[in-house]
Amino acid sequence: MSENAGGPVARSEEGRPVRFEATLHARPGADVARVDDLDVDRVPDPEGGARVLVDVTECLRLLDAGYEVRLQRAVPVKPFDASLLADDAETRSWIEQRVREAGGPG
Amino acid sequence: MYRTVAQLDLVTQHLAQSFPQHCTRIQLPEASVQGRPIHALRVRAGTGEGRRGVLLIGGAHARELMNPDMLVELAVHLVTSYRNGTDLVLGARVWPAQDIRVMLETLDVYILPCTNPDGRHHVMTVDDMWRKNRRVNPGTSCVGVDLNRNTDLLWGVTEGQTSCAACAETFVGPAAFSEPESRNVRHMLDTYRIDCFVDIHSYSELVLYPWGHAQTQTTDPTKRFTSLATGTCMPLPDRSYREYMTPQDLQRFTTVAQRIVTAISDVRGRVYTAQPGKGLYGTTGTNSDYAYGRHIADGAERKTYGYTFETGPWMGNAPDSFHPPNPEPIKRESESGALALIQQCICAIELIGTQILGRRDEIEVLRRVRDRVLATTEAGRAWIRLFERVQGPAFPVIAADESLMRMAADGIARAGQLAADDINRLDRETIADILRLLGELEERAASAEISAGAFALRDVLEGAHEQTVGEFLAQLASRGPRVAGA
Repeated sequence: MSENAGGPVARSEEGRPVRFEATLHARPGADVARVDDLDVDRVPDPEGGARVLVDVTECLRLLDAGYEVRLQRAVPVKPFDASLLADDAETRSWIEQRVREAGGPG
Repeated sequence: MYRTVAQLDLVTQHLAQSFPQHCTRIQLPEASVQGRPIHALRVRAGTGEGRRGVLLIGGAHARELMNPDMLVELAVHLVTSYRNGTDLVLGARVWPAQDIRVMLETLDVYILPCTNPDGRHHVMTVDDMWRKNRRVNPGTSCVGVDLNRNTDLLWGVTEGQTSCAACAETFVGPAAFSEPESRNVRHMLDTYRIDCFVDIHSYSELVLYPWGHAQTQTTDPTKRFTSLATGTCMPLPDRSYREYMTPQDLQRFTTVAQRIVTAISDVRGRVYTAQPGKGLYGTTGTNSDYAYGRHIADGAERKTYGYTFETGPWMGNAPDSFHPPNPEPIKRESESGALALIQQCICAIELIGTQILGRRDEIEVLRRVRDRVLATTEAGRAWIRLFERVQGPAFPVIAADESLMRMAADGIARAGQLAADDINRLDRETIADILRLLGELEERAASAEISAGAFALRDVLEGAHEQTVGEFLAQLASRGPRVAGA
């Protein structure tokens, strides 16, 4: 999904733009194997099916192309979870410790 | 935990400053689109130039966050293991200190942890599902080029997950190598001797090898990507097209990929699938296919075996699969896979022949025998597979013992001289020397693979006295190695 392709935008309660993780299913006349031609953000699907990340505009485009689109979850546009990020001091201390363990300058 | 771009840089900087004898930071010629400098790290030990090289890259797709972290940790672990002489323990898989020592003393290991720093920064600060770099695409409101579609391996052929639309996540860019980040990868391949390459992505638990644009076949050498039109912004016109690969290269890819899979599963039992890239979905312009395809596009280029890892399992939703809350076990798996690739890049015969003996002619003769005789039949390829399996556990044992090294070196020199002419005859003394080396190896290594190799070689060598080299090779090419008990 592109960040600013235009068109209607869904928003989360916090006001963030939202896209959707969705699976695509064939309707008569729509071949799931052709989904690659639609230039949507396809991500690996555990069942080998077609799984995509799409915004509202792309979702409508898929529907127009004849796909059945099953929305799995909303995926808001947001920065990476800061609680999973190392902080600078922690990183520095980690590498200094490793260097000391390897007999480098302390 | 995940590291920012600056923190990844801090780790490589610290390693290079602290251990200049092992780690060299290489500033790549081009900064990112947004002006961030990009660095690679060379890790090695000992002396000697002209070594075989391995290049490991990560972070091309920004949201696949684990892999740059794993790569800097791999560098730290290599140096620590080497300097302390300690085993590298990755879950249930132990990489002996001796194996790490051999890797660093025989190869140059190049690590480019974060090829796409702008994208990573954008993930950390704006959108955690961002994939591309941060190129502003003129004439559109869309940003970014897919850095794993931008090389000139069938660039702009929109096969499968590849697009000429600037707003698509798989946008190929305005031209092959239009992006400075892609040109940096090319620079590494152009500038350094790179024999083995891996581009590490997420997710799906796969080890991929060429080709990505079409199914692979080994029978019709006229089907080469070099004869296909590029920049068409269309899929391949012939849906039945199959790309050629020599049988020996396909064998090499599958054998090494399987060893990588084993090294990964040893960590905690997750079994990755090894398959050609096309099996995941169609692609063109990828880094790993480009790395391998270079020698086909230009016969003067070195052959580089290029792989792609897709690390980590499905975690129930896409964001957690790209960057799981706890990436640690997945990083240790892919680290083990990377070590397997590094180890497989050691060519024991080349190493002993060129670096110990200082003899290139005999090695060239043996390489010709491999490629022109053994590789041409299934039985012959089984012998090559056997050798590749045995050299991994055998070489550290040989390298650790001067007398074994001398025996191996003499054996290689003698084999190279004999193989230079088909009418030369195998003499009892040469055969006895080889059998003695096998016995010593079996005794010291306690390895099932070495025992299997020794059994198969004894089986053919013991009856080979006075055979000509031509007769002996014909026998190998017609009858694969015998398995004990079979």
